[in-house]
Amino acid sequence: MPLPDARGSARELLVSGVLDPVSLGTLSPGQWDVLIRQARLSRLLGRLAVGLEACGLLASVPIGPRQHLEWAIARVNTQAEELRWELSCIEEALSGLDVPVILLKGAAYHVADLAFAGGRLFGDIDIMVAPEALPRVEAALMLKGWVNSHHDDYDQRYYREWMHELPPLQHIRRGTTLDVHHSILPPTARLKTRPDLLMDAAMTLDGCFFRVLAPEDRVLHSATHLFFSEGEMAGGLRDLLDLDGMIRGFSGDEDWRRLLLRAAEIGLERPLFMALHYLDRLVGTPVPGDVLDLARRRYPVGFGGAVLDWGLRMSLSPSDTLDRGVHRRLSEWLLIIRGHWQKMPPHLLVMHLGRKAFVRQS
Amino acid sequence: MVEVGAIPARDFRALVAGAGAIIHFGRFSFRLSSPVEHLADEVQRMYRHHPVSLEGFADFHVEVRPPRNLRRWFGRQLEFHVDGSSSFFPLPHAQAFPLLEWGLNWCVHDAVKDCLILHAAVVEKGGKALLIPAPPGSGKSTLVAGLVHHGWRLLSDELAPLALDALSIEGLARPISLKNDSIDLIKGLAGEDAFSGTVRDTVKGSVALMRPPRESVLAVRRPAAPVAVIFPKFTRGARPVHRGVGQAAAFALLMESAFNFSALRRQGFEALADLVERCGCHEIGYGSLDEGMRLVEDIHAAA
Repeated sequence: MPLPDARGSARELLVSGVLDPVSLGTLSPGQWDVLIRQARLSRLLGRLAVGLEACGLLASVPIGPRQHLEWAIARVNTQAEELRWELSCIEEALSGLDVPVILLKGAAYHVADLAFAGGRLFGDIDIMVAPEALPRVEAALMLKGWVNSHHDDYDQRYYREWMHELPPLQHIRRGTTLDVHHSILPPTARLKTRPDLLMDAAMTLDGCFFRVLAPEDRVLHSATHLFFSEGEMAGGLRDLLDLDGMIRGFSGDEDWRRLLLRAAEIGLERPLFMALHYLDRLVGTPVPGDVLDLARRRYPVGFGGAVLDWGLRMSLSPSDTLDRGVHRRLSEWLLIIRGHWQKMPPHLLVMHLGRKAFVRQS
Repeated sequence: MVEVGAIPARDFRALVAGAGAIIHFGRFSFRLSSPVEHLADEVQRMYRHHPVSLEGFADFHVEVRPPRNLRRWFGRQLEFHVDGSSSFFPLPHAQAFPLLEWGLNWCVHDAVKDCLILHAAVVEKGGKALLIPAPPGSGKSTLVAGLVHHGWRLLSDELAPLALDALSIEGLARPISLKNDSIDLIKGLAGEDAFSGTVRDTVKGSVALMRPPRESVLAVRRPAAPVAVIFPKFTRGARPVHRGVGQAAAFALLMESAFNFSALRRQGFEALADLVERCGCHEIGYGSLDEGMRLVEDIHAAA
């Protein structure tokens, strides 16, 4: 069954703009229009802007698009300042507990000073602590002004019994959101992992209260988050390019061997292989041939695999204002259904979706 | 560039329903796409003198269209989309144009980081600009519409982009949003033709927009230097009063009306501090438009 194309050209423009700004050359106003808009939609405008500036190319961008790039750099700088302040507040709340606190995703990439984190825009801060420390951590945060933003009894139960995180906490004065995790996958999910092993291997950083996941665990977490969470993949390409950045940081066979062993050890081979498959196909990340063969062999086959592949390619490509046609909406549905299917066993899923459909939030 | 009004109405509708039309306001532009014909007509009337282009770069890609989920079957509603994602709750079909205007305001103050965006009107005469910030209901837009009809140049009705050195304010020259009794009052001055249709029962009551004068639109790329900040307060039947406002108090009031103040951090703080140090800050109370305009003229003459 031939499936429609997934807007390859906008994606290629954006990917090359982010990974190799020099390759953009001279763009027409119409191309800049597509590039800026797609970058903003994919939450990659900051990375694009910082990349262009680092190559000394920003000044030669025409004024229209350049304004947006400069605004994005201002946004990136503000975010960095706010992150520093927010982390110092979290540290103040939790430093008396003697509990290791691990930063996840965006905040972790910044703190670990990864090359691609420079222009990376993100929303909330995510931390992970051991499940047995959760009550103490939650209490300490509440003392310092973080409150539960989900008051509904059902939502509370949803998070506390079935999810891998507390209901999102919001700071009562600053309005910032904090997600406190005890694992990287819901306990109800089909895919199982070992959060205790992730926490044991977490790294300390010089002069930093927070820990970050080990490099290979960061890759596995990012891949799991991208391919095995709820399926809302608006930032899919951004996350794929995060993975690209992490993998480009690998120095050789030994790193790859460790990554594959670790994936097997903590049960996250499926997300890893899916990530490698799409990194190779959509981004052109250098992946050793034998690893890629392995990934290809493990990709789902048959009709189911083809439909999944089509849905994921749609989601991992930027969408267009004027192009949110039936295909994209169908693919979004498909991924949301798949995401929920992965997240909960059928009886819970039926209950949960039924409740969400019929009980309006007050 | 061609003015929006120069395109035949049918062609403009077709453009907006198809690939979209890029409308320029000051140094910004938006590409409008919408299947809603009465919105295209209204935009063409209200942005009649603004430049339009058909291709190239646009700052904001905006779309006003019916929801694509089950909601569309419950009453006729429209959503505002920017760059393909919706940030607003849907509104009734009749509110298409106010929805577009509110959405565009959001686009500008969310994106722009090289100037401080104040929630304020700006008018200019003789090279001297007045910044008029005010909470809804204070009569700001009515005052501005009155001034604009009496020879003042409109820079902006809702958003004032203040340069970070606080020396100049840019123009946007977008339509002026009038509410309730002000609509008929200003129609009496400017005539019916300058107005959009009146939309009743919005969260703000009845709303109608007024087209900015052509001279204001043509001069929009010429920034103006602010010389005074005026906080107006219209109260029916009240006697005219004029008081000075201290710098610290003016700073605090302006800070609350600065959309991107926290995003700009130190730069925003300093721009606002420079502004209140350089400009006289005034509070005026009045009971009729004429009295309000006279107070403004006095402040302008003394500045």
